[in-house]
Amino acid sequence: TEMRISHQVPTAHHLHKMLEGFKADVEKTTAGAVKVAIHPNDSLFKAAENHPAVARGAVEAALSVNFQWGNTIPEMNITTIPYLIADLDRIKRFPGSEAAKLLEAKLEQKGVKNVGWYYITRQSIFTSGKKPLVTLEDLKGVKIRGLNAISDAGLAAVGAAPTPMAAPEVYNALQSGLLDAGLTDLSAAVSRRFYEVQKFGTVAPYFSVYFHMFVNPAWWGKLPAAQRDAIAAAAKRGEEAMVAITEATAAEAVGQLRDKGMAIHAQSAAETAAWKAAMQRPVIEAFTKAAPDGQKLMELISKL
Amino acid sequence: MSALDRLDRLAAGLARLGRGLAALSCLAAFAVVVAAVAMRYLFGRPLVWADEVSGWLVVSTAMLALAEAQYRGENVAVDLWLERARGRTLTALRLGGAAGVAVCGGVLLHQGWQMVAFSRMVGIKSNTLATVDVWTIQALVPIGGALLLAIALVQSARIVAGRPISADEGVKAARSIE
Amino acid sequence: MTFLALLALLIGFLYLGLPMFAGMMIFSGAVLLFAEGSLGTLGEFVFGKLNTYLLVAIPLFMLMATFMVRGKVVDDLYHAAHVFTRHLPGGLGVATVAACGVFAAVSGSSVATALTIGAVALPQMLRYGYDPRGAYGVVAAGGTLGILIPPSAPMVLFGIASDTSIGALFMAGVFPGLMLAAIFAAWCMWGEWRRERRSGARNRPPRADWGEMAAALRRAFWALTLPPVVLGGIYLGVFTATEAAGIGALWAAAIAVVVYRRFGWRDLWEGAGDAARTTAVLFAIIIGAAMYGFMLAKLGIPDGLVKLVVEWKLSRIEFLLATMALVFVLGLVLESISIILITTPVVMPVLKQLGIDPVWYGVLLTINLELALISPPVGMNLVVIKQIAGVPLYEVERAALPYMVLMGIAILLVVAFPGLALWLPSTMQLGR
Ligand code: NA
Ligand code: NA
Repeated sequence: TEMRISHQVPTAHHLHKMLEGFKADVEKTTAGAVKVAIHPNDSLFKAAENHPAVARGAVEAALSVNFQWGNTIPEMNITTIPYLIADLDRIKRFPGSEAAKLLEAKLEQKGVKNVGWYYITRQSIFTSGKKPLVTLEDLKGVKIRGLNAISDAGLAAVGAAPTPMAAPEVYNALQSGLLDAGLTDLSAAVSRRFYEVQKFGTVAPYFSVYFHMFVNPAWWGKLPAAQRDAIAAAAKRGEEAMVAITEATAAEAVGQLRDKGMAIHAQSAAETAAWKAAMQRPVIEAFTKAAPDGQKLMELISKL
Repeated sequence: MSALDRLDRLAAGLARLGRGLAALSCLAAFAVVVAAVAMRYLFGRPLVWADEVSGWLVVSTAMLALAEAQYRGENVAVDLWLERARGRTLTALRLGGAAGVAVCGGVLLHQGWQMVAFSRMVGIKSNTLATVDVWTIQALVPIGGALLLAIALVQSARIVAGRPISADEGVKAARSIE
Repeated sequence: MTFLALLALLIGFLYLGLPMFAGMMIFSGAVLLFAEGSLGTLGEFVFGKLNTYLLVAIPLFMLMATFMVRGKVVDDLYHAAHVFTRHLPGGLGVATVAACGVFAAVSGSSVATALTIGAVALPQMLRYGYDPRGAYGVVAAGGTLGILIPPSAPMVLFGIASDTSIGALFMAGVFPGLMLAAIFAAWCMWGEWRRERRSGARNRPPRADWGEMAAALRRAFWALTLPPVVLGGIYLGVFTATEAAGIGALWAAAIAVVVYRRFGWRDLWEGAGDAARTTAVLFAIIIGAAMYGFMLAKLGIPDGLVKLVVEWKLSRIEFLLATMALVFVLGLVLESISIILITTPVVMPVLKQLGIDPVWYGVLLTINLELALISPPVGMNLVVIKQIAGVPLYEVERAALPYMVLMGIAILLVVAFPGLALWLPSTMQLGR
């Protein structure tokens, strides 16, 4: 049988590296009975189409960013709550946890079966062109490309102006000064070449991101048990492998950004405390207001 | 007035309705983009929903205006053979064109309907406007498909009956401008 | 080979003369049904293709063009261009290429460039007695500069897909873009000069004197403010390249209403209707071509093709030329986004292995994508010009043919002299 996997990141991204390992793993453990074909970089379906494509069986599997579910599954935005899930142990314990199960049940309701959670980042970078963003005062009036409506509440609370922007326009907008600042994960600042147009970067454990792999439930149900187990086991090994890959990529990214001439400031414990105090509460409020099971999920996360 | 002429009237009406709504959508997209710039630059208050809504308005512009483009014969074809064909060959080619567009209209209607049904069933929501169900916007695809289907069917019927279709006149009129 | 068969069949099918979008949708849908047993999620595919923020620029630039034409803003503009260039052979052609170049610096899209300059320039060129075929050709080809001269939407896409410096790509496009503009202008002048020689009549008016030029400029002053306002706004960070389309339309409407007083509600309404219809025609073809690309991708054809090219173990130049030939063939029917998305992931590893600078490749690819816009049977700029001029498509194809050759020469020049592309970004220390 064939397992086609659609995802949105370029082949150079560390997620794709993990998936190549997953492909080799599955093909080896099933002795070639399951052929994995990876379609990277939106080449088959665009990011937003992955969900209907998998649910309706146009492709067997896909990966999405957790918070891409937006208002459809608001609970999936939990990792964008500032400074909530930055601890590596917590991140490692999340797959398979009660919290993950709660989200998987929600995904099931939307017609897809989740098989893996791939940790992509726990370090964010606030980039800027004119002045470094160190204190909360520095964020006042700054036009910054936010993440989504829920997490933007934190930026708005400290007087920044979260500005939506289509991804392909962000680079030009940072260059021209239309945006004063960018907010992205550390490795994306490298791959999207923000260092060409931004002088300063503040690295902070602000949000974290998982990519998650989901499959078509009917296809999954019809697989022979041995193949299903092999895929599940490979997905599990992928989750573990991803932790090391992501940590290494992040460490490398800081060095790369410095080499490219960006002035990198790693947020101090005191700064982190101040930013957290000002930004976390408003986002939690927005989150629990939007997500019916938000409160419950927060509690499950706190137990991790 | 013959039945075919009445049908043509109906097609013309549908086309004009589609064009009107498409023109409104186009102007609305214009207004949203200008407002987004003004709010961000002049007032420092970016419109969070502007990108998403202007994208929707473009879908609306394209899907709703397609029918009138078909009615007027503006959908571009490789016309090398078409321009030289005469008599029965020409009729067959013209019928093939109209019927092909009807098939596309039907497919857009059917596939669009399935998309809407799925989005409704699982409850897909807009990312910037939490209250908007995405299927209400996606419905533009089957609606545009239905308009296109209706017009292409009328054109096919008229070609079979050997009656002129407005698309021919449209092409001629455009050509006479030179 | 499956690919060549699928391509030949589609082209043959399109020659039956059914609307292009329908031909491509039906053909691709039939192949998908045959190979996969279903159309998959076609509804979402169509919706997703249309619901793309970057496409917003197309109806808005169209709106700007219709406002300028209906408000008669362009008449003075072309009067000025005529006054300045009337003593040159093909003078208005040169002016049009220049206008395309300026607009290309405003817009990241070639279709928008051809649409705007075409709607504005074509009637005016014909009015001043320019050879119609020459006029169609120069606007179709000049419009393609939109994606080579920065900003450029396809370059952004390629930069992200290939992990290449977007800034370097932009800078690398500048000289090839100017070179191509110069080649086009030279071709216009030579063509008109030849035509004059052949007909024996040299009825060019004499060079305008300073007074005449100054008067023409004064008359065209407000129309001339459009490019600096739009360009300035983008580069000063007031609005994005997409939003620039909306601001351009607003400025054009403002000039038409306030300065020319020749623009009413009726013009607004009908202009919007025209813009909407043209948008629908273009987007329908974009969807058809995208579906064909999707069908190829789903059958795994692009991967197979590029792997074939890889297996031949070519040298750098051979590989570049082979890839360019492949992109050219894909470009006969596909549009740029599909071509970038399906070829880039497979080509990149080979580029790395052969030590080919991806910036260099990106510029070659972009010129080739320009070529795709005017290559029959499916070329978006051909469609644009046909739409504006209301002439048979093959007339436009024939008019664009020499420009296809000129672009092919430009590709070879950039292959032979990589410095044309790479010098500017390297002096700016970009992408290192
Ligand atoms: Na451009
Ligand atoms: Na082409």
